[in-house]
Amino acid sequence: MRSAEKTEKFIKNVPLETKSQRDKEVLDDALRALQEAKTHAQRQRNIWKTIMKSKMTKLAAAAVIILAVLIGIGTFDRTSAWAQVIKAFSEVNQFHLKSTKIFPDGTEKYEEYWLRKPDGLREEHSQRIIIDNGKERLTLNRDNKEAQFEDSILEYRPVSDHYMFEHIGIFRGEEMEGLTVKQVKDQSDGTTSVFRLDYKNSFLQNTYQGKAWVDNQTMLPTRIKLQLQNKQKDDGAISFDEILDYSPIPDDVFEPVIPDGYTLLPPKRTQAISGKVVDDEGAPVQDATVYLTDKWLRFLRNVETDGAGEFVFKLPPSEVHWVGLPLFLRAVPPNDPGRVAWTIIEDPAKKKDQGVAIPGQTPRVEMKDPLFIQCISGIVLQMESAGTISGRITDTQGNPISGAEVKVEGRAYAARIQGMPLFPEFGFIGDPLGGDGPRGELTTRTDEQGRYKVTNVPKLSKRNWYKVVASAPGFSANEKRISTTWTSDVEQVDVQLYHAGITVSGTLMDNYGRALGMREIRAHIGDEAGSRIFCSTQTDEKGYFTLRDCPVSPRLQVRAMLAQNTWFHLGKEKRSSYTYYPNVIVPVNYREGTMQYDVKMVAEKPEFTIELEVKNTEGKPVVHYPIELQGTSSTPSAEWQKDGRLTQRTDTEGRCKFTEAPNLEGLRFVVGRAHIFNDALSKEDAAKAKSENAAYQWTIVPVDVKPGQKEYRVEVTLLTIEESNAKQ
Amino acid sequence: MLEDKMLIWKFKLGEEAALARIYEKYKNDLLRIAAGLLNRTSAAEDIVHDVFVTLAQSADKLKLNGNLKGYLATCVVNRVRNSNRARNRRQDVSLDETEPVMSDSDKPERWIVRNEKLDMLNAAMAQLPYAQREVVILHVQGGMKFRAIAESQNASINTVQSRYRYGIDKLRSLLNSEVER
Repeated sequence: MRSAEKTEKFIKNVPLETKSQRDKEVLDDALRALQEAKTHAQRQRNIWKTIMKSKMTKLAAAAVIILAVLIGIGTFDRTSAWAQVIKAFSEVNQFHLKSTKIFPDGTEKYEEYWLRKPDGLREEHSQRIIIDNGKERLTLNRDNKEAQFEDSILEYRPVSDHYMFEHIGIFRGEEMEGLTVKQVKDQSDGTTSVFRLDYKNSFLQNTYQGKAWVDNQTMLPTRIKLQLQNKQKDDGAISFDEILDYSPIPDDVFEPVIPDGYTLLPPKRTQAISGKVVDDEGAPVQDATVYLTDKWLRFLRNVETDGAGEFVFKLPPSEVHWVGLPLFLRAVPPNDPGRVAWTIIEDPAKKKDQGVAIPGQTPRVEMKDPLFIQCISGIVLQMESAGTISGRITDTQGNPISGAEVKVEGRAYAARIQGMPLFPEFGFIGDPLGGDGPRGELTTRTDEQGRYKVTNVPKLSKRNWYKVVASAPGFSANEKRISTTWTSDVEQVDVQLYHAGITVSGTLMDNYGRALGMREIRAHIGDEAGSRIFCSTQTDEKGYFTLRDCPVSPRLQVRAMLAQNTWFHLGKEKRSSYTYYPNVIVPVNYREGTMQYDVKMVAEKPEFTIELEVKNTEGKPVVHYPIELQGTSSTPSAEWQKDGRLTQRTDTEGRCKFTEAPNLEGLRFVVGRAHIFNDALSKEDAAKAKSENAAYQWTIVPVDVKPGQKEYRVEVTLLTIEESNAKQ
Repeated sequence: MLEDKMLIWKFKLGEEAALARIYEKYKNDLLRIAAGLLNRTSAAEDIVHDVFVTLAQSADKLKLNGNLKGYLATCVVNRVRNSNRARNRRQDVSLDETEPVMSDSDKPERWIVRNEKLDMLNAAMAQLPYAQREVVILHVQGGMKFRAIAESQNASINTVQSRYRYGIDKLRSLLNSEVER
C-alpha cells in the first residue's frame, strides 16, 4: 500500500466516540425541530392546499381546522368568553360530532366521530368506518365491503390525543395570526351565545368565516358553521357544518360489529419480537417475566412466558410508533432471585465484535427496511447466575427510611475497549438493565426497616459498574456507585439520604458591588471537588438566587461556579461576554432547626498585574518560554486560560506580563510545560522555541500574595536539566 | 446510497425514525469533519448540532435526491467557513489557528470523547492551510468527489487535486510514525 493511501486510511479510521447523553440531547432537539416544522408546514400550507385541491382526501383535516381555530385562540386571550369555551372543550370527556361538508360543485360529504376517553373511538368517513375499543381495531371498507381486524393502536395514539380532542390542535403553542373572534350580541340569547369567527391568511390568500353556537351553561360549542375560500384559486367556497353533542355515548357504538354483507379479511399481521426462556438445562421456563428495552428508550415493555416458555412482544405499526435496534432483553424466572437471562439484539447491518460475549443464540432478525423491524424470532434467553444488590436507605442519623424509591442503573464496560461503556458502544442511549424504570432501570422500594433488595441483576461483563439512586419524599435524592466483579453474588450498597428543606437565598456580587447575573449556584455537601450537586439554580439579573430543598447537613455549602463559562449554549456573542472570576465557596452555617439561610457571596475581580522575568543561571533571558498561571485548588478552566489569557510566552527579553490575573488560592506560575492558548508564534517558531528551550528544567513558582497589593513582580532563575540534576 | 434515498424520502414525509437514522448514521462523520476543519471541539460540536436542527427544520423544503452525506458535509463546511469569516472580521484568531483540541472534554456538556489518535490528527490538520484541510477532509471523510469540492471552493479541479496532493503529503510526513504502524 502506498503511503498516501495509508494516510487516507488513518484519517478515515480515526476513532471518534461521543457521549450518549449529549447524543440524545442533540437528537431530541432535532426531533423537536422536525415536529415543529411539521405542524408549521401543516398549518401554513398542506392542509389548506389539500382541502382546496382535493376533496377526496383528508376530510379529517378540515375538521382539524375547525377545532384548531376553536382552540387556537386560547393561547392569546384567556379571559374572554371564547377562552372559556376552549377551556370547557379541553375538559370534555366524550363527544359526538356530525360534520357535513359542501364542496363548490355541490357535492356533499358526511362524517361522524364518537370519541370517549380513554378507550372509545369510532370514526365514520364516507369510505370507511374505524372502531377502536382499546383492544382491537376494526376497519370497515365501505366501497368494497371488506372488514379487517388489527390490534388497537390507542396505546400509542390515545383518544385524548386525537386531533379532535387535542387542546391546541395542530397549533400547539402557537398563536393564530389573522384570527378574530367576536360575540354577536344580538343573535345570542339566554341559553346560547353566538360567536363570529374570522380568519384571514394573507400569505395563502385564504379567508374563512363562520359562526359558533355555544351553550351558555356548559360553555361548550354545539354547532360550528364555516366557509373556507381561497382568493387565488377562486374555485368557490367549501362550507362546513358541524354539530356537537356531549351526552353519554352508549357502549354499543364502540362494539366492533361487522355489518351484514361484509367480507371478513384475515387480521392484519402484527410485527412481533418472539422467543423463549429456558433454564440452565434448556428446559422452558413458564411465567418468567421478560423485559424489553429498545435503543432510544422509547419502547419499554414486559410480558410473561406461556407454558412452553415462549414470549411475544407485539410491535406497534411502524407508522404509529417505531422501535429501534439494538434491543436489550432480560428475563426473570418466577421464584428464583438468583437466576437471570439476558441478551442484546444488534442491528444486523452494524454488527461488529464488541469484545463481550453476548449470551443467547443469534435470533432471526427481519427488517422491513433498514429502519423498521419486521419481526424478530428465535430469541433464546437462557438462565445464568444473577447478582443481588441490597442495602439500607437511612437518614443521616441512621434511621431507616421506608418507602424510599431505589433505582439501579447498570454500566458494564466492554472488555476490550477501555473506558467505553457497554451500552453506548452497542448504540443504546443510557444504561438500561431491563427494568421498570423510565430509562430501563431496575426499581424497588424500601421496607419498614429501610431495606431494599434488587435481585436478578444481570452480570454483563467481567467488571460491572452499578449506580444506586435513592429518593424519598422529604429527602434529597442521593446516589452511590459501585464497581464489582461479582465474586460474591450479593453486593451491599447503603445510601444515606439527607433531609431536604433548607432554603438558601442570597446575592452574588463582585468586590466592587457589581451584581453577577446568570451565574450557576450549586449546593454541595463537604469539600470534595467532584461531590454530588444536590440542587442548583441561577442568579437573576440583580445577582439574587434562592436554592430550595437543599439537604440538611452541617457541611452544606454553596458554590458559585464562576471559573467556567456556562454561557456557551447561549450563542457566541453571549459566550464571549462572559467574565471569569475564581469560584466562590461559602459554607452555610447550619444551626439546628433553622431552615432559612441568607448568604452573601462576593467574587473577587481578577485585577492583579503580575510581571514575570525568566533568566537562566548565566543571567540571559529565556525567550518564548511557555508560562501558565494557576491556583492550587481552584485551577482556572481551560476556557478561562484561553479567553482570559492566563497562558503566555516570555518575550525576547524573557519577560511577560499578566493583567487581570485572579487572586486564586495558592497562586503560582508553571514555568515551562504549559500549553499556550492563542499562541502568537507561528507553528514553526513555536517548534523552534521548543527545541531551543528543551535544555531547561520546568518549574513551579508561587506568587507571594500580600493583602491589598495588586501589582507583583516575579523573577525566576531557570536551571537547565543538567544543573538541576547536579543539584540533586 | 439506496438506503439514503429511502431515508430522504421518509424524512421529507416527516418520519421521526428516518431523522433518527440519518442522525445516527452520519453524526460521527460530521463530527469528524467539523473537528478536522476547526480544531476546536466545542465549536465543531455546536456546528454539527446546528446542522441537524436546521436539517430537521427544513424537512419539507429539502430538495435533495442524491448524496446525503455530501450534502450534510457541505452544510458543515459552509458553517465552518462562516464562523471563520466571522472570526476573521474580529481578527482575534487567525484562520489557520493552530490551537489543539481543548482539554476540557471531560466536562459533561462535551459531546466528543477525546482520544489520542483524534488529537494527533487534529494537531496535524491544524498545520495545513485551510483550503487544503478542507479538500482532504471533504474527500476522505466526506466522501465527496473532487469535482463537487471544486464547485464548493469555487476553484478548478486541478487546483483542488493539487491541494489534496499537498495536503496528504504534508499529513503523511506529520503523521509519519503513526501511519506506518
